[in-house]
Amino acid sequence: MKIVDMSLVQLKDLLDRGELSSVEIVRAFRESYEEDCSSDKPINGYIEFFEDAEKTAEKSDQVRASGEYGILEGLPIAVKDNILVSGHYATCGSNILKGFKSPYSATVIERLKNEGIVPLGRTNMDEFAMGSTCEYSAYGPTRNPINREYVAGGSSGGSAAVVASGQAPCALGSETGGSVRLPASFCGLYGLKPTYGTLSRYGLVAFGSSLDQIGILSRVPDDIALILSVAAGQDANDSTSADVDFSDIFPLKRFVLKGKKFAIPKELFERGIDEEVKGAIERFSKWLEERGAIVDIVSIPLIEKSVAIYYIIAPAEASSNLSRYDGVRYGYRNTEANTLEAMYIKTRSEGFGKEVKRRIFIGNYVLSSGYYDAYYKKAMEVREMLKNELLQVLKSYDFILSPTSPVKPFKIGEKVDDPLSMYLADICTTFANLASLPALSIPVGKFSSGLPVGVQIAGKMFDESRLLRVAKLWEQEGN
Amino acid sequence: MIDDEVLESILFMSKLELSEDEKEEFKKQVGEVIEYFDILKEIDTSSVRRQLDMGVGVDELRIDEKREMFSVVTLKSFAINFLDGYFSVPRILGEERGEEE
Repeated sequence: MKIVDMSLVQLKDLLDRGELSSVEIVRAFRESYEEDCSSDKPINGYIEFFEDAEKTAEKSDQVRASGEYGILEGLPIAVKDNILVSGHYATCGSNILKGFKSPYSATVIERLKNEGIVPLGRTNMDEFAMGSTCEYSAYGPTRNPINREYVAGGSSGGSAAVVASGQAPCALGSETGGSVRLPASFCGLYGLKPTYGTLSRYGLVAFGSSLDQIGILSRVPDDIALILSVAAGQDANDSTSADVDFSDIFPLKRFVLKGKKFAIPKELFERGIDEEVKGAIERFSKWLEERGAIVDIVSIPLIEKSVAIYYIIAPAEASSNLSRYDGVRYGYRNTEANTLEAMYIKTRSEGFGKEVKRRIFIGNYVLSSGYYDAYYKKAMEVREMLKNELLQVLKSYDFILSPTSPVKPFKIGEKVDDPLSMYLADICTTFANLASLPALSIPVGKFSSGLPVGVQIAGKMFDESRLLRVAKLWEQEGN
Repeated sequence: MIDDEVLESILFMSKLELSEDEKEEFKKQVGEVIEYFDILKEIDTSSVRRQLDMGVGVDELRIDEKREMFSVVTLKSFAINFLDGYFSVPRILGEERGEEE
């Protein structure tokens, strides 16, 4: 097997046995990236492959030779462009942050680096993580490695594409409403959105603060467990991080499906769902039932309102979080404006792309006097009701099973001018963010077009281990 | 649903400006999205008590104590208009809006 086709865990094994060096690994992924760059239609997964990646790998090999080294020593990872890596650029796929160099690393990066990880590069994304296709980037769209005429999914499309194309074994993305799970589904990978609080948000550029989480994309569930085992837990720099210990999550233990209960929300199948997606759920349910699991169709009435709730709350939070981009302290500044007010307006209007402007506008609209009660307050109240409905179901069931995306991956450009239709593709993912639940996209096969299809399982808060163990069983037996 | 007056006032709050073509596109696209939000109107929320935290069991903030943060050199590297410990900006007094008032 070639280095670029290996999982993080396989590479770790070879490194631990002394059969491979970190430099060899990084070089292999760099060559794969460079080869793609010179192809007719590059995937455009990386915004930048770090110049110092090989040097970091060299140091890592020296540390390993000393005998005392970290759990992840010499293993590479790709990082979404909104997660800070000290000394490297971080632009959130936006012109407004072009040239911004991170003065510190995100807590998650810091923890991974302390165990020897080698950041490979920063990956493309929808600007400020606002999008479901990875087309709204100042660096151009990311193409799906399986069929380059199609989108890779978003917003962490770059992270998904580099893993699916053998340019990285594993990648960090970020989630606000499905941004790890959708691209994982579109590119045939496993993609985890952890419980809100599992991973520190310190150093993850803020979009919707009550929804954001760093997520992980990989080819095998064990890779996600390995990263979680090091990165999870409370952080003094993020008051919403939770005091959880995931250090024994890796390696994933065998899971017994017999007697476990899966709930399928019927409301997600009532309209707009692709027949082949339905077929994928049926196949996965059958596999579960053959192993003794119980799969029931249940009603979670408010789940079909989750797109409306999400697209009020997330833009409201974004409109506040993005007010910091004013050209004063960092990032792009329009230098022609001769008053402060004009400078703010010109800087933001030139620096932000269309979709980000739309979300800021929607956010300020739903928060403004006269509309606040009808939209924002209402959405917050319905969010609470939805959370209660989901928690009630999770009292009787172990997992909620659904498609990851109700539809097939889009062709590049197909939905770019139809925001409402694109937002509706988030119907199956947003509920997990709204209720702070962990959710995992599992690759379960292919559409007739050859593009991958994923299903999603969501669980109780901090039940990441069981989600990943179900996935591992599928990887070993069902896939 | 979004008339010119609302459009202009939200754009002002957002510190954004759009071309005339973009304004028309915005009115249509954002109008459709806002209209979609109406599906929440039918839900009775009168008995809902909103939770103010995220429910992850964290109820203590860290101690408010002084810590080492960024050096002046780091801050300077962010912006070209940084002098004597200040970020320099265009003039504030005498702006068009201020003069009107």
